[in-house]
Amino acid sequence: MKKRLFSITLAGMMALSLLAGCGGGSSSQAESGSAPEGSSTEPVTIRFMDNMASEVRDRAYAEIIANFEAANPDIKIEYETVPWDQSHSKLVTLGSTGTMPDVVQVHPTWISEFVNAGWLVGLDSYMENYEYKDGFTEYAQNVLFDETQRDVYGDLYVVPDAILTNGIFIRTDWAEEAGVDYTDWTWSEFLDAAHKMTDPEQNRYGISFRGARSAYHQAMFLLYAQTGGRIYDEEGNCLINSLECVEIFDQYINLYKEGCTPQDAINWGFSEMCSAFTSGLTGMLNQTCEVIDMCNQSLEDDQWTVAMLPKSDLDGKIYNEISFSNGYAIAQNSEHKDAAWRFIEYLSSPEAASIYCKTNLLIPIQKEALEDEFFTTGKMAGYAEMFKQDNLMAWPELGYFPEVGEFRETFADAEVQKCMQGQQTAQETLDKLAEFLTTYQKQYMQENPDVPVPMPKVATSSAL
Amino acid sequence: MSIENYKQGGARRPRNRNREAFFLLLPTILLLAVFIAYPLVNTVMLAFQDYKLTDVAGAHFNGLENFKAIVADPYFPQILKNSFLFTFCTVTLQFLLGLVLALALNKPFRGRNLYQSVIFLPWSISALVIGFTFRWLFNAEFGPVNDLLLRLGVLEERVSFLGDGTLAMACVILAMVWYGVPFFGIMLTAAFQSIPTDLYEAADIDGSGAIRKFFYITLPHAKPTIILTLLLRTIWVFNSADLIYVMTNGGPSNATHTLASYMFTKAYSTLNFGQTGALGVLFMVGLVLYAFAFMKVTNYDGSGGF
Amino acid sequence: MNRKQKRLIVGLVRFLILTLFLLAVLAPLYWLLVTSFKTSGEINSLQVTYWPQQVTLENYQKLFQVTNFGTYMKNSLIVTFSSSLLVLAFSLCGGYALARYQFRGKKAVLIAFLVSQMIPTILLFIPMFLIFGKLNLINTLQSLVILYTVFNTPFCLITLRGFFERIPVSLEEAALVDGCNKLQAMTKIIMPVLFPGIVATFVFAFTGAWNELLAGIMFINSNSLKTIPVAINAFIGKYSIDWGQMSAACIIALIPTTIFFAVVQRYIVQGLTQGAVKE
Repeated sequence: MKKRLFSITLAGMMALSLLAGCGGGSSSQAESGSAPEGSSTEPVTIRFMDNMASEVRDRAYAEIIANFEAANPDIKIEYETVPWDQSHSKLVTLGSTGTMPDVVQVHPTWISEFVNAGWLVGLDSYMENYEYKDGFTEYAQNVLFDETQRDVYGDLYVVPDAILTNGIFIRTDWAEEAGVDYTDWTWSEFLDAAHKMTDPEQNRYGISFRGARSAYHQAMFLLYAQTGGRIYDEEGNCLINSLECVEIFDQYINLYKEGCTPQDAINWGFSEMCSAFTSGLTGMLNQTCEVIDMCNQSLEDDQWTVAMLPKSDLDGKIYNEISFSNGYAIAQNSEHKDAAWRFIEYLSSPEAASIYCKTNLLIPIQKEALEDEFFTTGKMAGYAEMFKQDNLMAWPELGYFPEVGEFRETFADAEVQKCMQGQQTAQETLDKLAEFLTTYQKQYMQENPDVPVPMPKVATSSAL
Repeated sequence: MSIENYKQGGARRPRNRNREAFFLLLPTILLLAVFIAYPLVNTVMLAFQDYKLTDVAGAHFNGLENFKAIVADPYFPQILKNSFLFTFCTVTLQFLLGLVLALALNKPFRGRNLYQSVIFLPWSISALVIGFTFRWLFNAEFGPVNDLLLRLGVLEERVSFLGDGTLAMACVILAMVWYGVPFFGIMLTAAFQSIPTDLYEAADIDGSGAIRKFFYITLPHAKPTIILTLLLRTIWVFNSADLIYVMTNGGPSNATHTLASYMFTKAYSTLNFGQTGALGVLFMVGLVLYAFAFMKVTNYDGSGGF
Repeated sequence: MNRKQKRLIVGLVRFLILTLFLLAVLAPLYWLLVTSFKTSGEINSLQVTYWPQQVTLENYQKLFQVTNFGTYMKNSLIVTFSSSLLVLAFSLCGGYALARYQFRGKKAVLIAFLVSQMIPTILLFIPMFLIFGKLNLINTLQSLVILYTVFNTPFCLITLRGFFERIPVSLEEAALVDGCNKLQAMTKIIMPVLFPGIVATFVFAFTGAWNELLAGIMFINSNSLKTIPVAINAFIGKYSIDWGQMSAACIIALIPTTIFFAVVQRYIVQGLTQGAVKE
């Protein structure tokens, strides 16, 4: 009896398997978007993927999409998300198989890969007729559109979402106790402050040191200050292993070796750095504006502020990375390019940019949106103040060759970590990094003689 | 049919049955042919090409260039060494602990059913979540491991478990072992319970001790299961990248990168799928050689299992 | 030392070992459970706590209010059960063929199964994407069902083959002599004996599909089609990790598997012990 029951169960399971297979399928097909452009009443569906998915971003995009769909009943947006950690590999897979979403988000560091691979559409022909085409700030037009895109690739491929730039998050109460003045400081004073604010007795560390997942990037702030913001000379020789660079890099690595940051920092990426600051473990953090939100949630308002980035000890200028967070582009494989552009037009309008930047705490590139006092008051004031300085310079890119990806993801961090562990000197480390960059930059210059060598740009308030 | 045949598990004589067997295997073979054979051939083809995703149009065959580039990679020897260390330690520990667990579970006790369903739980969590959880557990400042050891007085000051190359490797292995012990536990428990009790009874009459029984009855009977699970587990562990990627991202300074995790990072940071393919080919050749050697040494081939 | 003492010591050692294993397994799970009831302030504080200072259900509430966790659960169940049943069907047929027939190329088939486990995952995605593109299956649950079937069939097939080999051919032949046809012999005689083995195989396929993350991320675009591991992974943001919600999601995701394990684990062990069947 029991045995028969078993065999019936089994037969049932087999039948179910077929049913479930089909059942699961049919329902999913109905749900999945990309309906063909059919009759005129049927709206066109375009896919749009956010590659830094988070609850806050979801909220902002939900509002933007609702507004857009209300104004454009003939277009429906299918909103997709992918977590940041997997977004690059997913987009690469989608790109190489011709299945990218219609509107793709592109991180500034991916532009060269995606454009070289032919996955994106040139946008200049669309931009010509855009009603707000002159509404972008000068910095966006000159640097983000022209210098880093049109001059290199001959077209505009990515419309930036908003400006992202660094400031020093600092514990004002600790700074006061340690007698640190952060109003108009240089990098040497910054390094000094990290030592002063360290107090093992109270379990306080001076700085959130980034030792992993783009460790090299934090060091670049100090290196650029020593090279006058340059990465290469005219011949394409990388300049970051100069005597001045080695000296300051050594001091920077010493922050780790001498315990101005926890030993665990060799493993810290973005989230660890930030939570170390917000939980009261570290006193300083070199980060971008979105972190303000995290700090607001866990620190008292009078405990912290965002200080301006330190100046160069050599020429007194501020060298900052002033790039964008994530741009919008149209995929080459899109079948609805015009509809996709209409969505990008809305995303780039002052109205949508304002919603987006206020929720995510970013700096808009639309003049009209920037007039909002939201962006010049509160903790954002530190960033606004910086843009008023006439000594503000923006870093150049590391280069436009695809090997930059390898440098960023694997090579540079491993070398910096070796230096942190004392396996090699500051000089050896910087020599290796410089050699890597020089090799590929020279190769690139040979193949693309017309593309100018990346150079720092003036980014004063008049330009912004 | 002779009695011999039954004892062996009774495979039929090759009559005109080939077609029946073929049809029964057809669905699986088709499935694997479509979804595995194509990627396999593709990998081998990529290995001999200058193939970058950023320049697919410019792809061309370049002989052994990719392999030369891999050998010239200064990180390669260390990563190879890490891979062996990681795989060997993980599989050995998983197996030994699984063995101990299976032996302890061998005799029924009250609540065994509940115990078993709890002990197998790690197996149903994704490797990524396990990676993140262990990264947190071992965090020097926020993690409970440091906190507990400090409170118990085992440590005098905080230790950066994931900040030191050797310790980080140990932590990654530990997480992997935690994840994989249930698998061996299940397989070995099952194998042990399948041993006819009369064999043990006979041994008792002979006055054999527990250790002798283990080596002369338990182990030999479980051998086919042990060999198969060890073999597959080694392949899986060697091929697993996600836990390392999450816990240490290969760091500090490549101390925890294995071939699988290095390949993953490298493939998407360089988009050079020619070199990735070459790494993949080396990877598979190594595993095939290992599998053959393993089966020869354990004599699995001759035991009728394969 | 007399026999009684010896037995007592063995029992004690066994108890100790079992307790240690239980603690080792439960410790990280306990951490997830406790975290899921903590407020985000407490989670991110430097003060490590082993019991929430203030028990909150906020993480669980948000899980179902803000995310479509119910939908993800449904998707995961559909994909997991469908693929596990397919794996079972393939493995039953294939395992039987490998156990009961001698034919040329048998070894080659087995080796092919083994090799299929060796291909680095990263090199599978792009080719598979192209195949699914041709089949129009990208962004469907079917693509995951197929993939998980491909991933899990080889191991399950080889395992089931072992079970078949342990069943004496005489049992089958006796049924044929009694006038059953081949199918009847299968369903009435072999299946019942094999049932526990089937359950065991099913569990392997089940966990394999239930946990899978990378393919889930790669092949699914729509939020409404995401599976549980993908949803859990989404709590790992660029700027911060939402530990509270992630832990809550893990705990919820453990409930179906715990129930499933509790129901079937007795068959797993019995199943893998089918060699005990004697004539």
